[in-house]
Amino acid sequence: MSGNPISVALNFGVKFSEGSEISNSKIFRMDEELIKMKKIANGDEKALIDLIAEWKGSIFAFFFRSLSNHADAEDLTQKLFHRVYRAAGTYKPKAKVSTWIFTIARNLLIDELKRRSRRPQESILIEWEVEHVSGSYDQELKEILGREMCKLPENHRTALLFRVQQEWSYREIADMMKTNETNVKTWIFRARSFLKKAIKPQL
Amino acid sequence: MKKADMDRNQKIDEFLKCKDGSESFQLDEQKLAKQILFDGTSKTVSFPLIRYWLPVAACVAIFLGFLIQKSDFIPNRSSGSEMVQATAASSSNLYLLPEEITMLDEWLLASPESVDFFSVDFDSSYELLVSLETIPLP
Repeated sequence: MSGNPISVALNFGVKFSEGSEISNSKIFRMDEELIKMKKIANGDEKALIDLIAEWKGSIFAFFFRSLSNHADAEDLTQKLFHRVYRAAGTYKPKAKVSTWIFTIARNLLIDELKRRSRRPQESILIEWEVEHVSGSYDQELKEILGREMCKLPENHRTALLFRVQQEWSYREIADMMKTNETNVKTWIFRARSFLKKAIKPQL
Repeated sequence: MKKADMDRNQKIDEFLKCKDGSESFQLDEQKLAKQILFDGTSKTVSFPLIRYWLPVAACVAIFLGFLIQKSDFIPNRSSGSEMVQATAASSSNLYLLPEEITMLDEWLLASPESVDFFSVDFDSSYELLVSLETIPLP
């Protein structure tokens, strides 16, 4: 997999439009990511360990804030790495690895939310109670925000999380969520306003 | 007012970044990587079985089922044709000699009422039964 990074990128379907200037560092990054994903697809344990170590924190945070449930977030994080391993061979450097991983994460999350909607309501409530550990003012604030996050529509919540946790641009979020920037801005604004309204009496 | 809004935004961002939650998440990446690779290997083994042999087995089962069904029908068909043949044979056994046919014709012509074969009531037509000699003459 060595050689000219541009030729490597071209071999894997990256299209460079005429006159476009792609920096060498970007091509090298894409090349590195591609090599890493190919290694994972070929069963390279070290490459897989590195990938898990690199992404486990942010993936867990995304699931935890989306579901407000530690156990489910842990479970989904593990499932995600299983899926990433299975799909590693199909990775194309058209998108960043982060975008690709979070696309898989979002699909997993949507599946989980569908599964939850079919599950009896009581079991969800019990899990929610486990999350409640009353304590300080900050803890109370977290509880309120966690509860309100669950009430947000999935796309509003996900857009807000990508913006805050991953610090992605509106453009990147729009590309990832297959919508336009205006929608993303609206969703994030609405989600933030909803959360602010919920914590207004506490502050 | 603006400060309060900024404060709320800051609290929300802190919550969303979930730093404390991520710290509490203990995942042994080596163990998970080993498990993923092991599952991947076992799935690679079972993949040809699911992808290739299972459909082949299903096709063979369908084909055999079709053959069995067909073989069930063939005896039925042969038994049907045998029945037709047997009926034909039994009716051919009821042949009459030319002189007997002539005698029957004469007898029918000599009868007081001409016999209309289309309207005759075979159940009560004593004469016809006699002529066919299916019952002994009184």
